[in-house]
Amino acid sequence: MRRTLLCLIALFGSACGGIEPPALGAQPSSWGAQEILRQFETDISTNAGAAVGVSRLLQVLHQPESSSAKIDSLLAGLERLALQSPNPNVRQSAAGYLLAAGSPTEVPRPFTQATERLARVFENSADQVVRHSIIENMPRQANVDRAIRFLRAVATKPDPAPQRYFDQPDEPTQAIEALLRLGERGRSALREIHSNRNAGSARARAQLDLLASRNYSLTPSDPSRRF
Amino acid sequence: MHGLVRVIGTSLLIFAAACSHDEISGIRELPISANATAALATMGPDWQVNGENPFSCFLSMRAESGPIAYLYRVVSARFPTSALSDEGAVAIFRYRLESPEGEVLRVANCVIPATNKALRIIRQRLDVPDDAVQDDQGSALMSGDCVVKPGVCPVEGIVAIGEPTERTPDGDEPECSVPTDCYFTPIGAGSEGGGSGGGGPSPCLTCGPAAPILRCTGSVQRERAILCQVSSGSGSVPEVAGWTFQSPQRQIGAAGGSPRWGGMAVEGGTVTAQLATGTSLQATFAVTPRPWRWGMNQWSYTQGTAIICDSRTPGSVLIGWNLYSQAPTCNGGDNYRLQPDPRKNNNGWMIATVPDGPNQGVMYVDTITIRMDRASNINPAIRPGWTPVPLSGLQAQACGAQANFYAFNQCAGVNMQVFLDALWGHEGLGYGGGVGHESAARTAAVLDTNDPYFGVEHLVSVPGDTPDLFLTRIRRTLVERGDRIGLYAADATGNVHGNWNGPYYIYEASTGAFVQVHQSF
Repeated sequence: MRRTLLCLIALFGSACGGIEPPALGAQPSSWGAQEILRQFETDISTNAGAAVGVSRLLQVLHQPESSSAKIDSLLAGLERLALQSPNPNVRQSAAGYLLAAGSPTEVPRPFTQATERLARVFENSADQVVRHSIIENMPRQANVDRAIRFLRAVATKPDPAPQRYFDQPDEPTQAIEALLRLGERGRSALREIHSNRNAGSARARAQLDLLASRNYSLTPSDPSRRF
Repeated sequence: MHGLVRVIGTSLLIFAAACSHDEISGIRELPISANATAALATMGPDWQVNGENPFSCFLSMRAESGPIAYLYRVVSARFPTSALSDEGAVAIFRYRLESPEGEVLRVANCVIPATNKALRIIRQRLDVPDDAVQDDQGSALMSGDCVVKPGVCPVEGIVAIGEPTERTPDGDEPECSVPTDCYFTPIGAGSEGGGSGGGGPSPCLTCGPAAPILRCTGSVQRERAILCQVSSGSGSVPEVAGWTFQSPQRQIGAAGGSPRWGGMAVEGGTVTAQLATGTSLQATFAVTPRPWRWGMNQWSYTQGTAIICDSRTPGSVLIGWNLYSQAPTCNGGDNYRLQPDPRKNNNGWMIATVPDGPNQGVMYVDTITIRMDRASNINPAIRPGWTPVPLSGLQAQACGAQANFYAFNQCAGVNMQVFLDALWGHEGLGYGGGVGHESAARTAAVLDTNDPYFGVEHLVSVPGDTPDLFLTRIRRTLVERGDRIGLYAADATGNVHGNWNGPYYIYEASTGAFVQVHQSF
């Protein structure tokens, strides 16, 4: 019965609810970038249910009329939070929204400069979740050139703590797996790394050997085999 | 008994009445378990007062019915400047009204300015009968000490015997700068919580029982209905000109016409009823979370059913793995910890919009089904019976011309049955007291900071949100939580441990020999 009363919005949001009318003084454009970032930080820190800062950020990222200066300020602020916030949830959220800003599956007009900022965050972050998330989601970036350059660099950089024999990939191996998801351009990068034998860990080299033997296919050679 | 009911109803309103100058506003309500009769005890050293206004009362009134014996409220009271002590001295004023049978009907413990004028004012406000007598029985009510410093603390305890009666203002009325704008302040009942309130233009201390009141369902679980209703003690329902809901994030209005306004609640706030007379009534309601938590129904794990990711003899190759049970490949892109994968789509949850009432138009998470269905497997090349590799030199002398991973390690003294059990435990639920990937992930998933259900249960849209934006926020919340769970359960963080700690031998194809490694996993 309750269902009949509700306006349900299913997958990919057939927008039966439309847009919620803005409250008095709540127009997204009336918020400056720093105000949005401050509220974003508060929202994430407090796990806010009505996360006004997060919502304003998304609204700006989705609006075609948003000024490039405001976008740049927001992306710079996210980069700063991802690197400097003492709160790990804020760091991880900021990196996540930077990833979203550069992804065509998340925003209608992805911002290619987000990918460069993500590369800088990775370079300077010690947060394992942030680092892992950036590698893992880099294939979704609209800026494919920069994404491949980033992943190639990670794949060939000697890993400081390689997980040689176990199931969780080290960063070079994770980058190789990510390149595999980037289609022919990713495979091309993998072939080059393989032929140069310059993957960053023994595990990554072994994984590349395996992928080469499968012609860089995602599907295992015998996926149905069970033991 | 009827008389008692009538009297108590009156007393409640008398206690609540105050003008905006001499405001009595609620500052704290004790939880039910704190005992509604707390005012019967003296104020102790833990007594706290509003930092902005040191003059407070702890009030209790005998409840008319229900499981709670007394209605209670902590209020702050303002006094005119002329009633304050020059030295800032305070006094404790205690008042107890008893029925002729000795039942306590009303108790007040107050901190007031230590002046005669303040004493007269508080007696008026609390409707202390003129013939009330000072308690000389040595009861607990009389044993208070100074509780607010600095100050001198003459203690006055007043006891009245009889029924409460409504008081008519007299010429000694406290100063009131806005005497025509007097509002009732709610008296909280321990059993209901979020309350009621009402008011209307009225001179000081004359807010009578006929004043209209707005009551809302005090507290409801998210997605359940709340109802706000205007009523009047006189029996005639006042005309409502309009309704408004206000929270820090939004203001939602609705036309009047009905004394009731309700609907599904997803966010608490303040409801205002604008009466046709111009009076505004306010009441609040709260929303509590639905019991959405990560639990046993959200995961499954099967050992030995995952697809095979690698079958080369170790080496720097995988010897075991824990994957999404339905993963088509071993690639990380197909094996996110949470499924359906929130990085890819919105398949696991639905949002809805509140159709009417105070939260009309607010979007919320209506359903969510997120799971962690995992399966493990180990490299078949480490099992007995796998294709052997050629050995040479001392290794050949010791273990034969060829041996597979299992046979060589067994030959070299490794307890391979324990090794395999430990490896299965590492991928799954642990072995020999150790922690496996599966058990670590489950541990991580129930933490408040990671729990996907807990993380989205309370999410509501904000003004300006479209469904797509709101869905993005939900998705991002889930991805962040999924990432944290995944990394918590990864080898790199050290949370998966204690299953094996010792040497074993791996095959280096470049040298054609097994080499010893010492590893804990």
